[in-house]
Amino acid sequence: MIEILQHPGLILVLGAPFLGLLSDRLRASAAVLLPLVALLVFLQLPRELSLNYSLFAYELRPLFIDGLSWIFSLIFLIAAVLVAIYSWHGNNRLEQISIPLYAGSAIAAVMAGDLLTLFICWEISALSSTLIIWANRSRYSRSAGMRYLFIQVLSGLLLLLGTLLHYQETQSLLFTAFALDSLAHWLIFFAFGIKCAFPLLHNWLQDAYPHASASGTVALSAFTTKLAVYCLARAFAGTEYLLWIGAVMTAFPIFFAVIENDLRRVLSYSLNNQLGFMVVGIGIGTPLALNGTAAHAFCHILYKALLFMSMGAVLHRIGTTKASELGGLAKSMPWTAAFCLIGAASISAVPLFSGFVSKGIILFAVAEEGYWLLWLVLLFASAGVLDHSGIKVPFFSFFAHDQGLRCKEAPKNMLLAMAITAAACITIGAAPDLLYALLPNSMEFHPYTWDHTITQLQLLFFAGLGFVLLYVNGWYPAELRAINLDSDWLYRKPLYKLASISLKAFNSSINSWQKLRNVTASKLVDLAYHSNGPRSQLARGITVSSMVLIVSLLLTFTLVFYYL
Amino acid sequence: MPVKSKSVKMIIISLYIICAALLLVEFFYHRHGHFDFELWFGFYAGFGLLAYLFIVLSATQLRKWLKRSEDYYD
Repeated sequence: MIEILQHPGLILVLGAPFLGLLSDRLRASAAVLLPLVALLVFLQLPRELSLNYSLFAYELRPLFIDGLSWIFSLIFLIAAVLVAIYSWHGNNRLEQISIPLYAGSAIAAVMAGDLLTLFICWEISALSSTLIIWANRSRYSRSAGMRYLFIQVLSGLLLLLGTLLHYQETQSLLFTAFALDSLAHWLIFFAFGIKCAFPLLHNWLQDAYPHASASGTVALSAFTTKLAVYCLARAFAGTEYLLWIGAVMTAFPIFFAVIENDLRRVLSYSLNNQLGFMVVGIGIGTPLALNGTAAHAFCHILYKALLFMSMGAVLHRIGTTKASELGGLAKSMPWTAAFCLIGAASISAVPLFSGFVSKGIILFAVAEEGYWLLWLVLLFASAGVLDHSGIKVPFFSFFAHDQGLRCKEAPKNMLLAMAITAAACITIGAAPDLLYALLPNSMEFHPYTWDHTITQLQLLFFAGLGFVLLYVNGWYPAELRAINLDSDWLYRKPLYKLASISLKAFNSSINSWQKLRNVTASKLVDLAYHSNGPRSQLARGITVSSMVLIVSLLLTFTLVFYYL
Repeated sequence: MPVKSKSVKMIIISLYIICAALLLVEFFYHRHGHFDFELWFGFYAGFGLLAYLFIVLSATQLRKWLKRSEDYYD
């Protein structure tokens, strides 16, 4: 019998508050130990497990492990350990408590076998990730965190509504595969879609992530969106809409990434684009494609964390990640630059790096089903990935024009976290069978064929040639100190204005009503004062003799009346 | 911008050589593909180059519409 206390997510969630009681140094080390313990406990659990409870009339399944939730839980726990090592040097108490709370709730959400447990974990992860943004305490983190929270809570509300309607229809809370055949399931679909940063629902990601601290952003990049990918894969595998939603997701963030100046925001756009590949895999929905999604999520969490870690190290040392301010940092931070290049090679799917063996599965699965247009879009997006994550991020920070910035290499714990992550990226790329053994379905896929290797190298090297042609001729867009509009403009400008105008109108109407109320009330009070106040008729004092007179008159009247 | 450093020139020249070699390799193994167009000579190379140029140049045009000063939302 597996006790609920062996739940790895619960260990993190319950352990996190106790970190707050420890001293700074002790807390940082305990923050590494806690996810490590959870990971060890997790590895003791079987790969198929279902723990059922009934609460009142509801059948709940708070701990459910199958092939799909197993691999997502595993990579979440690994990410939690890496983030803790990466942030070991810091002493931000709020952040160090929020990160394991956030990781734990995301892991518990992946292991949730029913919608109610999922909803509760969904909300805890939303709140704790907001705390991570706020913990940065920068000029912009408060308002960015507020916008982030609003959208996450909106997603939670949709999930709750969908869950209630679903229960009403089916009398079941179990989290299984759904078809898009009722309002309930559409609501759940959109709840997942918001967290998965579907096109036009995406901008909370690029808005908020760059406003967290160096370690905060690494933590944020790992969990929320991949939790949504997992949920979509469990509930909506094979949904055709996802093919085209995913295709748009792979393509459009590329253009924004090319012209974005803040390199951590470039990575956020790139994250969005990578999610697109996973969503396409879910849309295909075959066992091979779902393996592709799971494998790509696994690799993506590692190389994206690695890229965010390297930019976090730059932020830690220089104080900014704006491309227009950076350049030539490889001289001061050679190790960080090397790790960044490994992350860049992995995300660009260079052979022998992790992206090559995971993205390949998704493209192969798409081609197997004969979707040629979709396949071309994904190929197009792959060329785009090379630009923004493969070239732009490392090139403009560590190479390009030397800005004369000199600093120390990143702290040792940051380097250690990056080294482990980089080693994982290369190991997976060089020995993909290690990763394939963790996947939920059995499959026949060989990444290192002549065709796959040569064609991928052609794609990447000729795209690289494109960069050289543009850069040498001065046609590559310069890095400018500017921002670009995206869909968040809608609620940060016109909707914000509309809201402030309506708030003003509301306030002034409240004011005039209050005035009217005050006037009426004061008239009433005056009237009552006139008749009941200290100098009024009713409050006048009566002397003893007049009392005697009144009483004797009353008695006389009674006597006369009695005899009549 | 003009390339001055010798080592950068070397890197660029080796990139040209690698690109040429990758194209020529196509003649030396039996190619497979899911779609017919994959077997056109230099399909991936041409697609990669054109996709890259299209992405970067069109994004530069996009800037005209989307660029704002850094304090736009303040």
